[in-house]
Amino acid sequence: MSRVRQSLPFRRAATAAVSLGLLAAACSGVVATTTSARDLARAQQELRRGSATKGDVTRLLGVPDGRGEALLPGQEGGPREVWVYQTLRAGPIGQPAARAQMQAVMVFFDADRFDGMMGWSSDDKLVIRSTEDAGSVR
Amino acid sequence: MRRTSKRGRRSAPRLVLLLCAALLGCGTTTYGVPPDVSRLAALRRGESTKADLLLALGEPDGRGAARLAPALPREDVWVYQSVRTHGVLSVHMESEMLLVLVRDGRYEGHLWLPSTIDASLR
Repeated sequence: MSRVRQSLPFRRAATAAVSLGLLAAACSGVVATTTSARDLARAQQELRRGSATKGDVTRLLGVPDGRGEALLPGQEGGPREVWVYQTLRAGPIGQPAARAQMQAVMVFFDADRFDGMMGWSSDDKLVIRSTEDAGSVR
Repeated sequence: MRRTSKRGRRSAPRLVLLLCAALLGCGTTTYGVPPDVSRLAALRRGESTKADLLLALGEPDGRGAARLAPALPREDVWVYQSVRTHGVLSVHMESEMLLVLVRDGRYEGHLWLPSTIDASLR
C-alpha cells in the first residue's frame, strides 16, 4: 500500500512528461505565421507618388500593422505619417533550428498622399537557433 | 507518507494550471524599453545636441550610419528598439523601432516605426 502511495507523485510526473512530449511532438512541423507577405512589385507599379491616396494603399497592401512618423533630411515642415507592414513566418516550432521568413514595408505619406515606400524581405535562409543561455538569430 | 500524498494532490492542479496557461498563451517576453517618442517634439533640427538626445531618449540600443541621397552628407543613426511578445500558441508581438539621425553632433531627424502583429500556429 505504501509503495503505491509513494509512486503516485512519480506517476503524475511521468504522465505530465508524456503529455508534454506528445504536445511537443504535435507541435513539430507547425509554423507560426502572420498574414501573407504583401505584393510589393504590384504596389510599386500601381502607386503613383503624389496622387495615390491612403485608400489606394489600403486596397493594395491592406490595413497597416502600425502607424509611425518620419522627419527626414531635406523634408520641410513637421514629421510625416509612415505606415508599417510586417509579416513573419517561422518554424517548425519545437525544433532546435527553425527557419524564418520576414517582410517589412514602410509607406511614406505627404499630406495624405502616397510619397514613397521602402521594403525588404528575407528568404527562409534566416535560421533561429535555440541556445542554452538565450535565443539568437543568425 | 501522508504529506507526500497531499503534496502530490496539490501539485496536480498547479500543473494543470501551468499547462492551461501555456496553451492559452500567457508567456510574455520583453526585449528593450519602448522609446518615449513624445519627447521628440522637444528636439530642434540642427540645434539639439547629442547631450539633448541622451537627456530626452536615453542611451541608444545601437548605432549605425545612413546616407539617404547623394547630395546629402553621411548621418549617424541612433537606434532604439523594443519587442514584446505575448502568448505561446497564438503570439501577439508589439515592436517599436526609433531611428534618430544625427549630423555633425546635432539632431537632424528621425524615423519611428511601431507595429503590432499576431502570429498563429498552422
